[in-house]
This record gives sequence, C-alpha cells and structure tokens, in this order.
Amino acid sequence: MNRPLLLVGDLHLGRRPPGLGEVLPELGLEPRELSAVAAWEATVDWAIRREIRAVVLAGDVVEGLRDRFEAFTHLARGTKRLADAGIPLLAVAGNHDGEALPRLADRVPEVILVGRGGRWEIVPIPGRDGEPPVDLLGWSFPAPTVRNDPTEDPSFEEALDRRRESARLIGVVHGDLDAPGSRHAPLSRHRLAGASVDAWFLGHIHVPGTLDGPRPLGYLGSVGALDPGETGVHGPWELELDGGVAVRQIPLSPVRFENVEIELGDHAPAEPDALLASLEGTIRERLGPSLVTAGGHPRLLAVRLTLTGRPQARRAVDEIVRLEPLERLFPGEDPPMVISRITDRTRPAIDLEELAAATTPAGELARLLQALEHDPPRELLEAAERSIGGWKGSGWTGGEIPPPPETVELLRTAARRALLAVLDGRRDEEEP
Amino acid sequence: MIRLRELTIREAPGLPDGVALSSLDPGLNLVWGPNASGKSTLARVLLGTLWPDPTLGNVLAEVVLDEDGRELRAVLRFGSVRWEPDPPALPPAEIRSLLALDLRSLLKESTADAGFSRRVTVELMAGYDLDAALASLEAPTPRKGPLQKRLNDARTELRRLEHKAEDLARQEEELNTLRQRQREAKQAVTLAQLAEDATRLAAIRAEIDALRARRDALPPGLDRLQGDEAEELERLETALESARARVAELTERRRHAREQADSLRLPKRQPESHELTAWRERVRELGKISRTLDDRRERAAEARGRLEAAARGLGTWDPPPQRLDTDALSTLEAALGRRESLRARVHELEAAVALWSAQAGNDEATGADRLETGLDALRSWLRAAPVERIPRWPGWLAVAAGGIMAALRTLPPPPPLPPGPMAWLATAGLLVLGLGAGYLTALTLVRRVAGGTAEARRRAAEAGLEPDSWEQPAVLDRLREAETERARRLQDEEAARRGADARRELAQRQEELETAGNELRDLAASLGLAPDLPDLALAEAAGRIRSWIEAHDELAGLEGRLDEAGATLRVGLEELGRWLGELGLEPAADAAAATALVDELAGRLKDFERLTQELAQREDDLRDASRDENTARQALDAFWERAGIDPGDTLELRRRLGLLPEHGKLDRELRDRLAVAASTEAGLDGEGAWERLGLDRETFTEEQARELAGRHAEEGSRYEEIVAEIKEIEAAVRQAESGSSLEEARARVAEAAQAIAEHRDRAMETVLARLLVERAREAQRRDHAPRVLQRAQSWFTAFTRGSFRLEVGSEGAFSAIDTSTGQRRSLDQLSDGTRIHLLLAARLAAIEETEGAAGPLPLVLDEALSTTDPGRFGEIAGALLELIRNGRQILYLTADPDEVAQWRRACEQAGVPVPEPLTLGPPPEAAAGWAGVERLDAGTIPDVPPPDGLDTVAWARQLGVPAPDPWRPSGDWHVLHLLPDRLPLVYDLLQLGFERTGPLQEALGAGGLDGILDPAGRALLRARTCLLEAALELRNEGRGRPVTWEDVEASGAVSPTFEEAVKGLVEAEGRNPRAFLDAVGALRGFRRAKLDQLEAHLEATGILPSGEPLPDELVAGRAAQRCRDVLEAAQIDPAEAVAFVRSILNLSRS
Repeated sequence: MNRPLLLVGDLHLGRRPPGLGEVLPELGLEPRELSAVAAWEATVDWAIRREIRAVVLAGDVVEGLRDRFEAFTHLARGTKRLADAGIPLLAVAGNHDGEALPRLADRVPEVILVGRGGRWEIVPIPGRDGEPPVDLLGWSFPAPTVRNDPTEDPSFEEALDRRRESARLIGVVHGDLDAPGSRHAPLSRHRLAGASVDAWFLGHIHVPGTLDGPRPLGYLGSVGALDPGETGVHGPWELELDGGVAVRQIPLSPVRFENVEIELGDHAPAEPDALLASLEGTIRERLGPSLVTAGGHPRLLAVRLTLTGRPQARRAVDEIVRLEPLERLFPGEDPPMVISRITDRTRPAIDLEELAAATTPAGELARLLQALEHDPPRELLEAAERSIGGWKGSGWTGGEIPPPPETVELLRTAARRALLAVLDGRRDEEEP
Repeated sequence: MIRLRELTIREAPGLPDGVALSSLDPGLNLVWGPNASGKSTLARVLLGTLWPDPTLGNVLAEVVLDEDGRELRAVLRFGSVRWEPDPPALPPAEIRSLLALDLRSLLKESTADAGFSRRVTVELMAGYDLDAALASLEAPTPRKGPLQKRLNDARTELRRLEHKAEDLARQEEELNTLRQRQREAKQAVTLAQLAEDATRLAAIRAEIDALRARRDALPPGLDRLQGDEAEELERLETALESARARVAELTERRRHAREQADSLRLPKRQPESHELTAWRERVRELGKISRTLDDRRERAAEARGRLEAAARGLGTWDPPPQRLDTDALSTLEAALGRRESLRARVHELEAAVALWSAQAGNDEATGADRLETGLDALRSWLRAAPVERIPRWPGWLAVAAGGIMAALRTLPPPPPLPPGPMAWLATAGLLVLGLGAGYLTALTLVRRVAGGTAEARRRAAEAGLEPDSWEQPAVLDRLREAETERARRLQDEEAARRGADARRELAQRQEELETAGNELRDLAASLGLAPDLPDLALAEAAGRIRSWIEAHDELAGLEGRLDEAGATLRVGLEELGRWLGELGLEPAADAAAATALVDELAGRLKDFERLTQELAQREDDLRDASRDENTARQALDAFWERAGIDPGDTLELRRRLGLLPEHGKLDRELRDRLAVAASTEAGLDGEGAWERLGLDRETFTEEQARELAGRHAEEGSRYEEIVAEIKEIEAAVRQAESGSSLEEARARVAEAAQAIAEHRDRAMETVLARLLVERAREAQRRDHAPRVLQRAQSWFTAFTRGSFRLEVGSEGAFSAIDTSTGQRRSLDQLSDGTRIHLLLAARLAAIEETEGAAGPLPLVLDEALSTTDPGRFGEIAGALLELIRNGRQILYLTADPDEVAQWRRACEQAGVPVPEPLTLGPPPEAAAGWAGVERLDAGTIPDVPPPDGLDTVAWARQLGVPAPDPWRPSGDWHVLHLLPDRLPLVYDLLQLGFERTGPLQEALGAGGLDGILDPAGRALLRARTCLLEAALELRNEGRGRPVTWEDVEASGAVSPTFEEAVKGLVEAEGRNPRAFLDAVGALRGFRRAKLDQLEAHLEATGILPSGEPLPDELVAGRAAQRCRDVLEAAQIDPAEAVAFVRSILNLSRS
C-alpha cells in the first residue's frame, strides 16, 4: 500500500481570523478554535488518522520571527504526535518564517528543514517496505526578502543532478509565481515546468490553485482561512503517487469565509427577521454540500453578503444592513453561520429605466445610476474624489486599515442610497 | 389623450361582489357610494392598472380606456396587467402618485403657514422633498474618536508584545553565550576536581613506597604461606595413612569372594540365563500336565461307572455294532408325539360328525325348490290382484260410443242440421273411440306386467302352498308360514354341510394316523426294538438308549485325552534329562522332581552371578584406594614444595608461621593503597586529566596538582550563577511559548482597523450620496424648474381668475402679486383659498411636466373635499372645473350626498353641464371569458416565487415540483413538465392556481382561460396537453403497470404471515411486476402454488406486461398524429411536437 503525502500550504501560526470575536462567545467558541493553530491541529489529526507517509510544509509556517515563541509549543506538540505515529515532518521556510522556522527546526529535531540557507536540497522521504521511493526537492528562504528566482541558483541544477533515478521527485518551494520583480522569491512557471520534477507545490499565495493535470504546479493555499478575503475551501492536500500524480484537497479549515450575492425579488419577506431567515436558508442551500469538511463542518461559516435585485422589502433590507453581526448570527444549524457584513446593492423596486425617463429628481438620480453602471462621467468622478478626499487621507487609510473601495464603486452604492433616500422622502400621502 | 371609459372590479379584498363603473364621462365624473363600497379600491385599481402595482396581487379587474379614439382593454390579475390589443403610451410611474390627488392634505397645509413655501417647492418638484432626503443622509463626522483610540490601543499593545518578543528573542540569542559560559564554568569545576584527585594520587603514591620498604625487610617466601599450614600438614599426613589401611582391607575381601564363586560353579558348564528361564517355564508346564493327567484319570473312572449303569438299564437290548446316532432317537420321539396329536384330532372329528348328523333334517333339496316356487307364486298373486280388479267396461263403452259417433258422419245430416256440426260430431266420436282403445290397451299392459293371478294360483298349488282361500289375508298368512318353513330348512342345510366337512377331515386324519404307525414301527426296528411295543414303552426305551449313548461317548473322549497328556509328559522329561546331562547333572524322575531340580539350579546360578559381580566391585574399590593413596602422597610433597621448605622440616615451618601476621598486615595496607591509586589513576585517565591538566602522569608532584586545583576552582565558582540566569531566560521563553497574546493583539489591531475602514467606507458613501442628491436638485432646478414654475404661475393666475400672479424672488422665496393692487404678498398673507389654488397650481404644473405628451391624464380625487366648508369647496371645484375645461378627465369619489349637491351648484355657477352622479354597485353578469375563471380567494392565492434568472431545473427545485410519474394520469403531471420552455407562462398558470394539467385542461375546455391567456397560449396548452396524454398512453402500452398492495390483496395469494414482507416488496419492486414476482418467490416459506396464483392474477389484471413496448420513435410519431388537429390550430410543427414527446419520454425514464 502506497500511503499518500500530505502537503500543507501557508499556516501562519500566530494569526487568527479577525472580526469574529463578537460572535464567538455566543457559540461557545474560543478565538483560538478558529485560528491557524486549530488548522494545524486538524491537519495533524488528519495525518495520523489517514496514516500519511509524510507531512510537508510549504513555508510561512509561522507568521513572523516574533511569533516563533507562541508557535513553538503548537509546532512541537504536533510534530511530536506525528513522530509518535511514525510520520516524518518536512518543511521549507517562507518569507514570513525564513528566520523563525530554522530556529524552530533547531529546537524540534523531528522537523526536517529542507533547503536551509537558500540552497536547493533533495531529501528522501522515508517509507515502508514496498512503498515507491519518493524524493523531496525543496528550497527555503534564507532571509525575509529574496529578489532572485531561486531556480536560477546553481544549487538547483546540482540538486536535480543528485536525484535518484528510481524515485519520484516532488518539488516544494515558497514564492511568487510569475511575478518578476517580486521581493518574495519570484518563480518562473516556465523554469519550474521545465525541470524534471513530477509535481510542484507552492506556498505564499493563500488562494488554492487548481492542482490538476499529470504534473500539477500551483499554490496549496492557506490551510485555515485567515481573513474574510480567503473564501472557499481551504485545507491541506493529499498527494497520491500510485502510478500518476493525483492530489485532492482536504477541507479542514476551522472557519469558512464566503462572499455570497443574493438577488432579492418581489417576494422577499418584508419583515427583517423573516428576511434574515430567508437569506440564511438561501445561503445554506446555495453553499450546500460544499460546507461539509473532512471533519464534519467548519466551526463557523462567516458570510459577507451582497444583496442585489429590486425587492419590495426595502425597509427590511435597510434594517438588516444596520444590524450588528451578533444579530445576524444563526447558531441553530451546523455549521453556525454569521453574516458578518451586508452590502446593499439592491435597487429600488422600480423600473430604473422607466424612472430614468421621468423629469423628476428621482429620474435624475436614476439616470446618474445608469451612467455609473456603464460609463461613469469623468466630471462626476472628479467631483466625488474631491468630496471624499479627506476620507482617503492619513489616519483613514494605510497601515492595517483595509483600503477603501474604488471611487466608482462607492459612487454606485452612494447613488443607490441617494435614490432610496429621495424616494423615501417623497410626499406619498396623496396615494389613496 | 387618455380617457377612462369603464372600470370593473371583479374581486378585491373587502369587495367579494366587486364594483363597476361604466359609461364614464370624459370630463367630470361624480362617483357616489357609501363608505366601504370600494371607492378607494377603485382609485387604486385604476392607477395600478395603468402603472402596475405589486400590492394589487389579489385583485381581479378590467379597465377600458380610450386612447386618442382607440379602445384599449386591460385585465388586471395578480398584480400583472394584460392589454389588448396593446398597452397605452404612458409617462413613467412617477406620475401615479401625482394623479391621485388628496385635497385634504392641501387643505390641511393651507391652514398652517410654517413650511408652506417648502410645500410649494415640493409640489413643484413633483412631490420630492430633497431636503428631507438630505436630512436622512446625515453628513458624517470626520472624527475617528473611539475608533482611532481602539486602534491605537491595539497597536500599542501589539507593539509592546512585539518588543517583548524581540527582547525575549535577544535573550534567547544570549542563551548560546550563556550556555557557552556555563559549559566553561562547568569545565573549570571539573578540572578543579581532577586536580584535587591528582593531588590525592600523589600522596598515595608516597605511602605505597614506604610500605614496600618495610615488607622487603622480612624473610622471603612469607607471601607463599597462608597461616594454616600446620593444620594442613596434619590433615595431609592423616589422609595418607587412611588410604593405606583401606587398600589392605579391600585386598582381603577380594580373596574371600573368589573362593565362594568357585564353590558355586557347575561341573560342565554354566547355563545361560535364557536357557534356565525357558526350562523353568517348561517344567511348570510339565507339572501342570501331570496334574491334569491325574484329574482325567479320575473322571474316566467315573464315566466308566455311568456307562455300566446305563448298560444295566437296557436289560437284554444289545447295542448295534455301529455307533448309535441320537438323531434317530429324536425322530422316534417326534413320531410318537405326532401320532398322539393325530389321535386326539380324530377323536374331535368323530364327535363333530356325530353332532352335525343329529342336527341335519331329512328333507331333500327338491322340497326346498318347491317351497321357493310357491313363495314366488304367492308374491306374484299379491302384486297382480289389485290390477285384476280394475274393470274393463269403461274402455269398451268408450270404444262403442266413439264408433257410433264416427259412423254417424257417414250418414247425410238431418235437415235441420247444417253439415258443420256433423263434422264436429265425427271428430269427437273418433276422439272418444281413441280414448277407449287406449284405456283397454293400457290395462292389458299393466296386467301383463303385474303377472296373471291364475298362473300364480297354479304355481302355488303345484308347490303345495295353496292358501285356504284366494283372498288377500289368507294369501298373506300362507306366505308368512312358507317363509318360516324356508328359514328352518336353511338351518338344516347348514348343519348337513358342516357334518360333511367333518367327515371328510376325519377320513383324512385316520389315514395320516395309519401312516404314522407304520413309520414308527420302521424306526423301532431300525433301533433294534420290537415294532409292536406300545408308545409308552417305546418312549422309555428311547430315553434309556439316549443315556447309554451319552455315557459311552463321554468315556471314549476322556480316554483319548488321557493318552495324549501322558505322551506329552514323557517327551518333556526326556528332553530335560538331556539338558541336565549337558550341565553335568542327573535327570529328574518325574515332573515334580524336574521342577525342584530346575528351581535349585536357578538359585545356584543366581548366587554365582552375585558373587562374580561382587568380586568385580572389590577389584574396582581396590584400584580407587590405591589411587587415593598416591594422591595423598603427592599432596604432601606439594605442600612442602609450596612452603619452600625441605620436606619434613617442621621447625622451619613453625618459625615462618610466626612472622606471617606482620607480613600480612603490610601486604594488606600496600594493596589498599595500590587499589586507591589505580582507581584514581583510572578515573583521571578516563577523564583525560593529564592532558587537560597539563601534568605528566608519572612524574607530577603533589604541589603541582594542588596549585592547579586551586586555580580551576576559582574559575568554576560562577557556574551556579550562570545556570540561574539561563533558567530564568528559559522560563520566560516557555511562558511565551504557552501563550497566544501576540496573536490576540494582532487580531485586535485587525478588527480595529476593519472598524475604521467600515466607518470610513460608509461615511464616503454618505458624502457621495449627499453629493448626488445635490446634483439632482441642481439638475432639476436647471432643467425643469423654470418650465414647471411657468406652468404653475399660469395655473395660479387661472385659478384666481387673474387676481394673483406667482413670483419667485432671487433667494427662491415665493410671493404672490395682487394684480388688482400690484401689491406683493408673502404666501402666509394669502387667503386659504388662494393658497389652495397655489398648491393645486404647483401640483398640476408638476403633473404636466411629468406626463408630457401622454397628458392630460385623468385625475382621481377620493372624498377630497368632504370636510371643507362651502366657500373652500367652491374655490377648489372652480379650479378643477377649469382643468376639465382644459381637457382633463376627473373622477371624484365621495360618500357624501351634500358634496354631489355642491358639485351641482359649482357646475351651475361655472356654466358647465351638471353630471349625473354614478352610483357604485356590483358589476353586471360576467361577460364571456370570465365565467370559467375560478373565484379568487385572497387567502389561498399561491405564493409562487418567480423564475427570475433561474433555469427550468433550478426553478423546479425551488418550486418543489415532484418528479413525473409515467404511470400517473397525464392530468396529474405538473404544468412545468408540460411547458418546460415557457417559464413565464408556467408562472402565470401557477399564479392562477393551475398546478396540474388536469384542471388546466378542464379550464381550457370550459373557456375559462379566454381573456386571461392570449389565443396562442391557449392553443399551445391544448396541443401540449394532447401530446402529453397521447405520449403516456402509447408509452405504457406493453409495459404493464406497477403493482399495488390492492392488486396483491385482490389475488388472495398472500396470507397474513407474509403481508408485511410483501408490502415491503410492493414498495421496493412494485414498479417492475416481474421483479416483484421474483422477489416474492424468494421469500422464505412462500409456497410455489401461491406464487403461481399471484402471477396468474397479475396477468389477468393486465399488470404483467403482455407485449413489447413501442419504440420511442413510434410513440412520438403516433402521438403527433393523434394530436394533428390541435397541433395545426396551434401552428406547431410536427418536428417540434415529436421533440416534445421525446422530452416527455425522457422525463418518464428519469
């Protein structure tokens, strides 16, 4: 029996998904249960349960040098458990842990650091009798910044020359694929693909790649989703080497982030509670089976919801947008779900084209909105830039603060709000 | 220009019977109806038909319009509107709220001065209050306040923790240096220890040298003595003496054993032990034979005595020369027994013959025959007598009368009689004649069958059974007597038959008895007995002969066995004698002597062997004793040699033993010191001390070592301090490793930053939204306001009949100019009526600006003036009549009859025709197209999600459409399966309540969808329903149908025992009857006969397929052919129809 390898992308021990602290106590969860540590523990559990041949870490195991202390205990404990189960742990260092990982490897002898000091290295992966020989080709960041393509280092060809003819060769490296000029080990897809390596698995980018084909080449992605931008399925990958090369992702991320867009129609419930319940049902139905992970369900599903359409339930939408995340928490089903943010891109329940034909202020706004959807007037964009210039200054941007949306996008949202405000302000008591 | 002609509400909440308005005037329409009669609904429906209003989802209504002379008809249903032939050209829905004029609000505003100007502005802006809109978009404050503090705090904490981690990292890096220093200190401690050890070693070496000098002063050889040499010498000498005495004793004992063995040796040779064993067995056998011989001799003497006694019992009878066989005696005895039993049987038969002969009568058989004949005759008479008594004369009388009547026909009728009656008379005569002849014939036949009485009398007389008289009682008595007689005779016949049988057997037994006597005589003769001896004598003789034969045979057997044993004994004794001779011994006289001799020989031989073994043991013991003697001598020699003293010099031995304690003490001390020195040297060697300390192992001095120890001890004195420092750092690292504060702090920073970003984004959205509202206001002012204001001014002047003129100041403030005086008045200085006129003017200006070319559109006023005073009413009515004069249609809805009167007065004052008020009431009977539409029930109107953006499959899933079942009637299929390519039409049908095709088909047939669906849609539905029905029917041909539990129950083949199991199989396999039968057959214990019964039932009811199903192509072609007419009507191409049927067949497969 050929046991699979388990390839682990960016772990970033020391990080946890932000913005959920408010809802976790309601679910009886500790923040660490959604953190990178939890993802690492789930990965170790999986490797032991599946009797994996070896676990390979593709860099950025630790968030930074300062985090190596808090990471040490978890890394050492997991490594010890793996070692007790006869599973070796191999790792390359990434830009985040170019210094930290070697130090940790020095303290945890079971960790086999491959490619230390920025020199390519081939390491045989231990196996049982009868298992085919497999070599691991790896390179580790020697410093936080590497501007050259590591494959141009002479040690790359030297390592390849030392490969065993009878062994399958798997490449693991951390870097920026097809990003010349990157400070983080720019890697040439062409050069990687040209090397006589059976498959390349990369760390650095947190979005998992499409690792298919006879010679997969791409990113493993982060093991646990670390911020709301890391949507979709996250987890380590199992690599089968029976004959060909086959990989499959194991969804182990303790938290699942999703961006969901729902178009509300005329039948959307008019009551906020009912509307929320309806939205929850729609989200769960839409995500459906993809929510199932290797261990059941993620501990939490965090959804950023964008509402579109032309619902009659205008006021209900306004209300649920203004709710606190705790009020948009749905703990009843597995997994519990929180709608962490609702972006209202609904349009008034009117025919925008028809409204745009009107000679009223609402018609004027409707025409503006139409223009913004297609060809935003330069003059308007400039005026908008002037209006919000102060909000883009220091103190409101930079540092850890996420950048603002594009002005045109802001304008579209603002136009919808303006139109709704104008329509709401209309004197409609004349209606019989 | 649009004019409303008719408005009919068929159904709406609160109006179950509906309301209707017809023949509406193009100008003013006063609509009167009591409260809750539907006026407000009427207004909403009118506007909701022109501009669809989703809130009218439960209203069914029809509107007829006139658009520039063209009639347009609209049907409002479930919030959607269908226009025929096409919808009118209408302005944007924005105008809807403007057209529904609520004058009460105008009146209310008119009473309040504050904000009136703003209200006019709003009216001019088509009702939009942009100030209110801006107020709702509150300008955000650019202060971050708590958000920034939260971020700063989080950042500070993160930085603190990061610095702490960095400090710790630095300390951790210093750990290496500290550990190096720790190792060096530890090394110094070790070297100090080694140097101290070297110091001790040097001192010990000096002690060793002193001890060696003292030991060397003692005599040599003391180290060879142990101190116990005196005792050892005595022990060795004693052992030598003891060995010598043992040798002498063993030599004497060997001689004595040799003499005893010689005395037991046999003269010629010693026998082998197996020989002796065989002869001991043999002589035991000979002894046994000798004892048997004696016993047999005694038994032969007894047998001879019994033979002589038996011979005496035989008397003079001489036994035959040959040996007599006891079988002959047995045959004789059996013959005697058989003759005895034959004799007994003969006696029994002779008694039976005598008995039956006495019982048998003497009548002959012929008498019995006569008796039987007589009995038959008497019975015949009794049967025939009643028939004989039936008279014959009635027959003869009828024959005669009939003959006469028939003969009269041959004569001419008498004159008074016509020929007709005569013919009837002849016919009647012939009939009577026939009856008479028939009577006689039947009587004859009956008598013949019953037998004749005369014949019976004759036969009875011949049998001698003639009764006393031939009357029935006498005949019956005679019959009973004869039957008694016949029974007696039958008994006699039985006795005679049994007597004959006994006689026949008696003769046979007598003959057998004779034969047995002859055989017995022959047997007696063969045994030499007299043939005529009586049976008892013969039996006795046979018994005695049997005793003699048995005694004779016993004696002969015993004598034979006696001779055989004697010969065996003799031979054995002779062979024993020969063997004893070989040994040089005398032979034995008899078996007893032989036994004694052999036993003695065995004892002698055993003693000889024992002595031989003892002699060998003595030899071995002697050899051992000689060896011990030599060993003791050698040990003594070795002792002296070891002591280094001449053998036998015991004085020197004692002198040296006296010095031995002092020598031993010196030696022990020296060994102790040497051991300590060796151990210390080994330890120092193992530690590599000489090289590490820089000392020469052999030549170093104590002073050198002591100096080194002091120096290294000073160097190692900081070790503990360094260790403590390292532990402190390691503890800090462990604490850091067990926490997650850095991770938490980083998360807090991210959350705080995210909060700022969200606040910022929301603020920017608000700023931009306000910007856009302002721009909309500016655009409105720029592009439309002047025109609207101009219109408003015009209307205002018109409404006030030129009394006032509206003006706008440079600041945008409104004012009115009194044209009569030229005086400018602010709006709050105007009268209520004038202000109403101003608001109306503003509203109409906005309406006209919005409605554009489609205007003027109808205005709807719902109880607008019901609370106003007559003065104001007149002002408003005048203004509205002005609008009417300008071509605008107005619907004024009211529940107040006074308002109608006021309108009448206003019209009269204005000089316009007074309109006839329209009264609200239910609509007339439904026109064609409405009759078939089911009544709406607002509570049950289906809430159907629209298919917006969904494909058929996704929408079907959302609707929960069940999977189609080809075995269900086509009417049960969901309409989505009927129209998968027409989702909007399906949506309409579902909203109309048609979920299945069956009710849809009925509604189509009843015309219920006329006017609801367009003709093309209706034709399509007819075609599709026809195709669906045909496709399912054709598809199911030859396929049987699914089995149901009712089918199974009806077969009567399933007992309660199997009911649950078979129900389960119906669920699991029922759709495939053949598989279902197979599954039932596989049930344990289900009988074959019952399975056949079930199969027969399923066949008979058409459930089991009876033929082959049609191919899909054939199904599709035939279905299209069947529905040819409806397909043509719907203008559906046959290929399209075939494709539809294929899709149905595919659905059926799924």
